Amino acid sequence: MRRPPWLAAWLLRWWLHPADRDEILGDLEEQFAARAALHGERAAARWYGRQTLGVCWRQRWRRPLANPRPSPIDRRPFADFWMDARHGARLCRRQPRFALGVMAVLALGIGAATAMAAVAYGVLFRPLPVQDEASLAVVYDVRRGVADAAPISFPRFQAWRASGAFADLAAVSYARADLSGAEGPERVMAARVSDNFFAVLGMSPVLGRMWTVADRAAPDIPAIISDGFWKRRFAADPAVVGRALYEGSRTYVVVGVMPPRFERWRREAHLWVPIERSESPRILGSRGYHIVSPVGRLAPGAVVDVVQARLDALDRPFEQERPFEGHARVVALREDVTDPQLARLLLFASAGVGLTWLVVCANVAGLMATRGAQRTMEVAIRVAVGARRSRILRQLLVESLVIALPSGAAGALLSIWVVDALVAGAPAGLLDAGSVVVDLPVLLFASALTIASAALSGILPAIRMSGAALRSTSQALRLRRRGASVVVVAEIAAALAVLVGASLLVTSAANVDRVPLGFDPNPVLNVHVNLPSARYGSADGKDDGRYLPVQRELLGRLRALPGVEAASIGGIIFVAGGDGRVSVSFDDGRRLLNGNPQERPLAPGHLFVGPDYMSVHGARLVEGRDVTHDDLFGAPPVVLVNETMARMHWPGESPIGKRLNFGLYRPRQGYDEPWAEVIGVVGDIRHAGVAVPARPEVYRSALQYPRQEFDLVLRTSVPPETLVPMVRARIRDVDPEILITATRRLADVVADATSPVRYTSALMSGLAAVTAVLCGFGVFSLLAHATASRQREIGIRLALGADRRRVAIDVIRQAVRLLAAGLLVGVAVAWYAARALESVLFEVTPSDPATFAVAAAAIAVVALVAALVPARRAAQEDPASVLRGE
Amino acid sequence: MLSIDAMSRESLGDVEHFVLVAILRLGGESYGAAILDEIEARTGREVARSAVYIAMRRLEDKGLLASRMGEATAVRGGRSKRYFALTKAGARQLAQSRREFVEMWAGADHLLRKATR
Repeated sequence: MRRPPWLAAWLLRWWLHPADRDEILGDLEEQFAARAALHGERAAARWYGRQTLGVCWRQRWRRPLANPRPSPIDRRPFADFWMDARHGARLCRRQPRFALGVMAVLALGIGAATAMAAVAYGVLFRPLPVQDEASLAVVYDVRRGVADAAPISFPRFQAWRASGAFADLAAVSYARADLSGAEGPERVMAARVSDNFFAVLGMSPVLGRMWTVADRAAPDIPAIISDGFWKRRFAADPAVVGRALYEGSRTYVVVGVMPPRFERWRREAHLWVPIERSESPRILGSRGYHIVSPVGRLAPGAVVDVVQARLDALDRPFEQERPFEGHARVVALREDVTDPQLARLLLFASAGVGLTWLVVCANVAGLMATRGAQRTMEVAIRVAVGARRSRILRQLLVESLVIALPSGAAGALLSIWVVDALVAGAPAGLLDAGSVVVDLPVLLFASALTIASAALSGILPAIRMSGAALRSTSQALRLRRRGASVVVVAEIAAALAVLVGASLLVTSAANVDRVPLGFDPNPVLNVHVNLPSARYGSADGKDDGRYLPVQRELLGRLRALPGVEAASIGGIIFVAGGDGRVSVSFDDGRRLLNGNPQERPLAPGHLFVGPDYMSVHGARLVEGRDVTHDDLFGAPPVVLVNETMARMHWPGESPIGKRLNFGLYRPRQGYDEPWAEVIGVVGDIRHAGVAVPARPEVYRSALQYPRQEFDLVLRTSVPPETLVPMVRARIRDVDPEILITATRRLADVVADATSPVRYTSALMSGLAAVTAVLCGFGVFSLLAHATASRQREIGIRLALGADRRRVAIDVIRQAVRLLAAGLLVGVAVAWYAARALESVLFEVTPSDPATFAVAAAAIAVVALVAALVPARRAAQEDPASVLRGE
Repeated sequence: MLSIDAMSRESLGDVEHFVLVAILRLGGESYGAAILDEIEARTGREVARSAVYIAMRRLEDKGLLASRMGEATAVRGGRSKRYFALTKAGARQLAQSRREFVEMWAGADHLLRKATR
């Protein structure tokens, strides 16, 4: 049986009056069937669509056929609504400039709030791409003072899994994978997972399938890849299952592709492989290797605290054993994936946008009230002929809805564009384009916001107007003025709060930029390379002399490049949040253990640097000598220390010539490494973050400990990025198999670390500017209105001989009074709100008096300028014409 | 002004005329779809569906048509038909309308041919 197009049929059914529905729909369906048999279904469907549109066009919504004109009294609930809406639309048409102005302001407010909501929802609330995220939890290991989110050993994971504390527990271990093959070398993040990983999360591949136990036993390692990786590397090839990926001597075979967004829900990963096939049995069997972070599904009804207690009980028998890990910490998945600092910034920005939206509503309310004053007569007549107050209230609210709905639609469109711009402009990794989008939940929010806007901007004038007609004029005037005052005070307060928040963030971002890092990132290019094991041998992360010749050749070639001033080797100098430390022994018998909570703050951070490393980065050599080309593998070990290290551990004396040992001490054998001599002291460098103060630091010679994986650092006399192709070519000349995993400007690395603060401060300052303008506009329009409503009073005073200047001052005094009240409230609100910012501010206190003073002064200037125009107008009033007009 | 009003109360509009003739031809099988098909088949053009329905309602109000709800059929998606029948007054009005038309056209055919040539 052929059916007519459902959408058209549904539209008709909804449109028609119930009394006519059967007949018209039945006729149409009958004719549709006949036409479908004759001309084909598609032609019939088109015909049906045309008929539907024709009927809807000719026929009023839900009116019976017989009665094309509305009856004078219509009792159906929507009748009033449509009448009021038509009335509102007529009003808009009569004052198009007013209507468009109001709509534009409202659209701005709604658009901004919707965009912000899209970002906040996308980052903080959008459901993760897993099933039932509320019952998922992540477990970390806590070692007091050392780490609060460390991985655990595989045997411990197995014990936890077997205990039944979780319904099921899966192991994850993140690692980089350097892939080669026909598609070119590429480095991706890989997750080594237990077989039950996908089942625990309740997700399965959209293409291909999960690996089976048989797959796991096959010679090629089964792998599941991410959607992004599939699209990037395999151009979304639907026949990707069965394709091979190579990592060194390993071969992976793709068995499935995960759905979009799955790759970024926690830590980024593009390749999932069985942990049993990618870690050696020795590591998996040992309690000494802390490699897995488990993620588990809680049993129905289970609580995080209870699970935590059970895990603690399981760990207890091992507490005496060495190396014991620490204490389990169970974290709900949502909490785990939320960056608290970003959340705080987003909530603050949301509050700012919310205040801006309130200012918008206040402005619109002010404008509506101004127009309302002109309509008092109309309302009075309606009341006189018997309209009830509730009926008039409803009418006015529907009228404001007529203005708000198109604004909401425009605002939603605007927000799509704004969100695109926000995501495009955001620093890498901050906003995920797959999560931060304007979609159904966000649009629902926009609709709610639209209705709220209509209510907020319409209800004040509506209440006032519907009441005004019932009261005497003087009472109504007083009431109107009081309402306007409240709005002005609220606007000034909101604007001040937003401005203070924005200024604090801008100051903070500026402070971050001003911090002396101890090095100059601008002329530095960082190239991370990895030597292929096949040619250079694998040393399992240890140093090995075999790597030395190629490293020296690379350095020589790169140094010869035009535009390169100096080249060195080592690790990247700046790693945001990095806090790696090393245990160290001093020649006077002191020992500092990296793993000991008390000693850890004293234990030095540690970096390998080649000759010229310090001059490449523009760091100071304070004392002694730098590492040279002679400090090679096999030569007596040397070490540089920084000023903090020298001050902390050799107070009042020179560290030059002192000796340090980084090896393990065994009572009988002594140290398993030779002593290293301190040869120089270098200036402090902020390695771990712009806002992280320098800590004690040691630098060992990179050429003495050649690694398979290292950074080449180049100081350039030209913009660093322009050298990248040449650098790549030179490295290829040395050996095309060398994997270049990243080339980055050091300045970008540093900028990325501060980009969330910078980004938010830029956002907030834009927002503050908009709010200040809106606030000025609102103060102006409301004061102008208030002054206009005092026209008669002013006229009389002028006629009685009042001084014109006095009259102007009077108007300004009124503005000043409102301003003072607004600033007072604003300071209180800002004070409270700024405290929420404290943890993200850098070297500026949330109650910074200068910031408050400047913001208040700025608002005061805007408000006073806005008050000046109505004041002048009042003073130039011609009393005769005012009184004649009465 | 008044005379036009008076006329429109007496004589039939185009669509009304078509509807009444269609019902006359269809007899007992007169309902929306059949009437629409009949008009289209005869005149060779599609008429606005709403106009036809509204005309039928108006004719019913004027007492020129009577209607009753009929049976539901599967081909109509289980919806019932509304059957129409001419009333005595409807038949009289139709006869008068036809007479008026015929009177107006008497001897004018060749003039029309000349005008459209």
